[in-house]
Amino acid sequence: MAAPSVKGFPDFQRLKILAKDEFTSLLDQMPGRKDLVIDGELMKPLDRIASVSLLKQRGVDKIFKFDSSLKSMHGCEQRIYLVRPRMTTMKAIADHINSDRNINFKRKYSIIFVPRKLHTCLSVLEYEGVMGCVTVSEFQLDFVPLDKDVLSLELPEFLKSFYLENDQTWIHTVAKSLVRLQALSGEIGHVYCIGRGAKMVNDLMNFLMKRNSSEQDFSRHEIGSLILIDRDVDYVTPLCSQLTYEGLLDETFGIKCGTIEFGPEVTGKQQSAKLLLNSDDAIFEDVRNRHFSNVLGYLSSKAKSLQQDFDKRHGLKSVGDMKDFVANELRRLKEQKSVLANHIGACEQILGKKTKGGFEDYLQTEHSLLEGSGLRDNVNFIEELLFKQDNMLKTLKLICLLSLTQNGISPQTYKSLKTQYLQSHGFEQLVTFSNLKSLGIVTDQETGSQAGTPLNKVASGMAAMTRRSTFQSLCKKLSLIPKSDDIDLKNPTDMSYVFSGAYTPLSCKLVEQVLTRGGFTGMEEITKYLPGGVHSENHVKASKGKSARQDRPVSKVVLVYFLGGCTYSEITALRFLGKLKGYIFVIATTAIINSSTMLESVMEKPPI
Amino acid sequence: MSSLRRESQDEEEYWMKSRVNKSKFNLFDDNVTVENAEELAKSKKLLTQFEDDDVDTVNWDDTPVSSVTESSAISGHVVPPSASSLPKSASRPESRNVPPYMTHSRSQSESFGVTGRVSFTPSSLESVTPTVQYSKSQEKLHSLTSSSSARSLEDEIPSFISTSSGSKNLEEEIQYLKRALKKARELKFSPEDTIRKMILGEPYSLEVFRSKEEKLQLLDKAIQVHDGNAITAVILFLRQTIKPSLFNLELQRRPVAINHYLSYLRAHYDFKELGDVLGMLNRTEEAAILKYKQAISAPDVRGKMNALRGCLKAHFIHEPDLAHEANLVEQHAALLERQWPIEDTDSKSEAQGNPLFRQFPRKVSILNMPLITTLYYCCFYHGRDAENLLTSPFAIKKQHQLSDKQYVWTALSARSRLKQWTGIEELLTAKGWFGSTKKVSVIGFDKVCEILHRTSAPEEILSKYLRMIDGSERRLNIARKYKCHEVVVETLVYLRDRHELQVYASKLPPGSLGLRNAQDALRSSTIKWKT
Repeated sequence: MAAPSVKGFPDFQRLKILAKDEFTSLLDQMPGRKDLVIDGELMKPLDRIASVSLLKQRGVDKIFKFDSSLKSMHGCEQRIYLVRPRMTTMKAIADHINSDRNINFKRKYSIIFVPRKLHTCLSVLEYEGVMGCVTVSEFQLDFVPLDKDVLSLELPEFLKSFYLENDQTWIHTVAKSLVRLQALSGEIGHVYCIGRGAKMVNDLMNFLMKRNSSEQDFSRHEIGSLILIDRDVDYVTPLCSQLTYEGLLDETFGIKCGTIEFGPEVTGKQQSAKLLLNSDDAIFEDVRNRHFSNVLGYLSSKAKSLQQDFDKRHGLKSVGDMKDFVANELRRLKEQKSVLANHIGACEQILGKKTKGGFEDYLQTEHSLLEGSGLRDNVNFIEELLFKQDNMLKTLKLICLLSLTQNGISPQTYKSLKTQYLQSHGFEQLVTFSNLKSLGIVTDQETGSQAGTPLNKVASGMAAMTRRSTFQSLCKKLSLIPKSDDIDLKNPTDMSYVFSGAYTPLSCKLVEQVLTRGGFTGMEEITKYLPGGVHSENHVKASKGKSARQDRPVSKVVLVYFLGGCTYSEITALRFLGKLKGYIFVIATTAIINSSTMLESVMEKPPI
Repeated sequence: MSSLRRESQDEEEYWMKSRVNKSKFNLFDDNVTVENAEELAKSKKLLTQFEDDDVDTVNWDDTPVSSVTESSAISGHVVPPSASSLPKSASRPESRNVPPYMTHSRSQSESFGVTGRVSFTPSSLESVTPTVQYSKSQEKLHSLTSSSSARSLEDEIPSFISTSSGSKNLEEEIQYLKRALKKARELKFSPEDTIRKMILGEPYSLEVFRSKEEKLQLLDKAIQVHDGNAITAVILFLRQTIKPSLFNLELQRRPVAINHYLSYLRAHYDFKELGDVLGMLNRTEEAAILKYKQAISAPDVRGKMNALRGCLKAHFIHEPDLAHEANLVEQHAALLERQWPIEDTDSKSEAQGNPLFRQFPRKVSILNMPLITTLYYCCFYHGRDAENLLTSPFAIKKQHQLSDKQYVWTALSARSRLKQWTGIEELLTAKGWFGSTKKVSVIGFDKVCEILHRTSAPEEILSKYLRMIDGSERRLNIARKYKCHEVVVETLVYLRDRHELQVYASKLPPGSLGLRNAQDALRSSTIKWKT
């Protein structure tokens, strides 16, 4: 077994190499020249695995982006479709094949499903009569390593599919990703599940894994514990405005699969710039986890010192020094300069957008919603946003927070806000409200208990005991809202710094609690408020003495797996917790989300 | 080894041979005794009886074997007796040791089917041969048979041909047994195994499960292990193979299955069935929303209006729980019914060169825009239209029961953009008692100023409304925010804050009205400044 790499992070490059090998051999199954048609959403993940030159080397002639609106496609006589398993995609592929057949064009087709083929897809192919002329295979691309500590399935649809439609299809993918990871890193000894999906993943994982009951030396494995956490345990955190640099970059520009694209307004040049955002970029690594108030100052001081390095060239004495400078320093400095310029440009854009949009007032409302104070004022603020027809997502976020923090909105306010929202942003949003109700994100206090959402079921049970809402109770029990106002955002001492010290992310706090308590014992007062319940499993035989010892480095390596996505703020908070308590956190997620992408995935599109 | 050679023979050859073999055994053949025929009929009956029963099939396998082998003595004159004892010893212990439903690989169970068949023709050594060919993995059988059959296949073939005088009945028999063989082969899959195969992505077949109980076992197992793909696959299999009433009943007992079925129908755009299932489950709200969603996806506005009206009548109005939603859908339909003629008239009017539209060109069609946007549009282009017209902003307010705040906010924005200052005054004037008037704003004058500022109203107008803001501190802050110097100076004088006024005045541009006012105030001796 490979030893953990430097700084204790398991080496996830191996995942990349495995995926690359698997993909290469799949390409080789169709020898010769072929076209590759890729599902749009797989473009970026594939980019992280295989280069275009590798594809060319393996006989790929042209690469197309899959377009389901096309009835037919041109290209050479062999074609590979690399797609997510969806029925609509299958129908479109069948159309392509049938249109080729109609003109008697002979072509070989292969469909590679990522990450697995589904029965429904195969039956569509069968139904369309094309099953006989396609070969079907699977490319088990699950984790895309985005950074040394972040693994993503790049499966944003998990949220809608699992929590809204209660479809368990993707549970298999999550479980499989863990099985494959453990095949590399060794079995994980301790598993903690928070939520309904988490338990399912654990069950299916156990079913798929042949757990070796005989003695295993868990201390030699690379990951000590696994914490699976459902997004529906904590919808509040992703709806809060992100204030860390990385989080703001995602909210403002959108980070896709670890890359960001800055337009001309940031680069200050004609063309836009694409940046890979990870720990290899030293400047970015320095600022990514900072509170935004602490970024621009740092970047400008960095710019000054860079300038000084540049100025050194004036002081160069000999030709030899000069040569040395050009050969070694100049390139590095130039690269750094352009990176720095981009980050400074991005900061300016963020600042500009935030000051223009009345962000201060918005943030104040958000924070008082979290605190549960000034209810009337908060509702007024939301109404005002509606009068102004201000950004529909921004307004909806506050409505969601209002409901989540109060166990639903009082019937009268609910009706009024919903009506005004629909009047301002289109009646089509009726569907959105219906979806949010099913998810338990925006509910009516009156019907809340009947809606049958997990959060509300818990809540209605609690109602008799206390008038405080579920969220407020959790806040109190876990002290999520720090008491002191003055938190040092520069040298933080608490995870809440990611939200300006106004709120500690619930999800991350739960992780902390589980780790410090070594399980859920003594947490009954907290876990009773969590929908879906908790579950823990210990595969390490404590009696075996040495293997259970806590001082082994592996016990400090923790894999936190978010089902339904997590935000950059949560990743940052966990990184901070890791530094504070000496853990090494690896964050796995079905996708990286932010408030907008999360809501958009369950919203009705406005008609155009 | 001869068995190896035999193994290489293909299936066709086997069937050919076995058919030939079979021809020796005919119900109506002289060679066959009544007793023998009875046995055959019995075994056939047994076969039918246990067709759907996996456990009892073992008995079938055993029973005919024993009975027929006994009868082999009678038909012994066909073949040398030494050979007749061989299938007996070969087949019987085997069938005991490994019951067919327990075996794993295809070849094994095939060989069993054949073994059973062999015992019907307990005649020759040759009849055993096909068994060997197909018992690829059964070492025991191999050794047993190979030891006795030293003859090569080539040697045997002519003898088969010589006896080939096929009969239709026997053909039927073979078909029958083929089916039985298939059956036996299938029986080795348990629901658990099949679900495991599905999860591991291995080939599987659901068609082997014929009884409802087994199918439901499959479903329950799939649900138990939480694999959505397997759950959906089994549901679709169930839907195909059992009648709708049973299907619905069993589905309703399993909420997880229902969710997967609904999810499948959604992804399959099977909205008719989706609506029916939701209706059956009494999930009226979801069903109604689904119908609404379908209605609004109509491509043209006229179709959409009709669809909305239809959907409102059929799914919303009669549901007491959906009273609020019904109102909203009603509003949606009403909005489209208003937008449609407005768009029609205005686009024509614009094309004809109406100066209003030339001065402020319409950016986009008003069709499908939100209600508040429509209100703004009407305030902007049709602000003075009489209330009985579709375009009247006031009529919109009335029909959609808009709050005063919503109305004032939008109307104010439109009028300010049009620079209709008197219009704004009207909007903010309320009649008091005895015909007196006063300025009131439901949205607060601070918001009025915000709108005026946003729509870049001139300072004079802005100042006028800034002065109406209650609370001097608040007024001061807002005036500062909008850089309304006059009001700032006035307010500072009112607050008698000489120091602040001096500071403020120092920042004002020379020659401005604000500065003059400030200087006047600072010089004035009548003001009692705060100390």
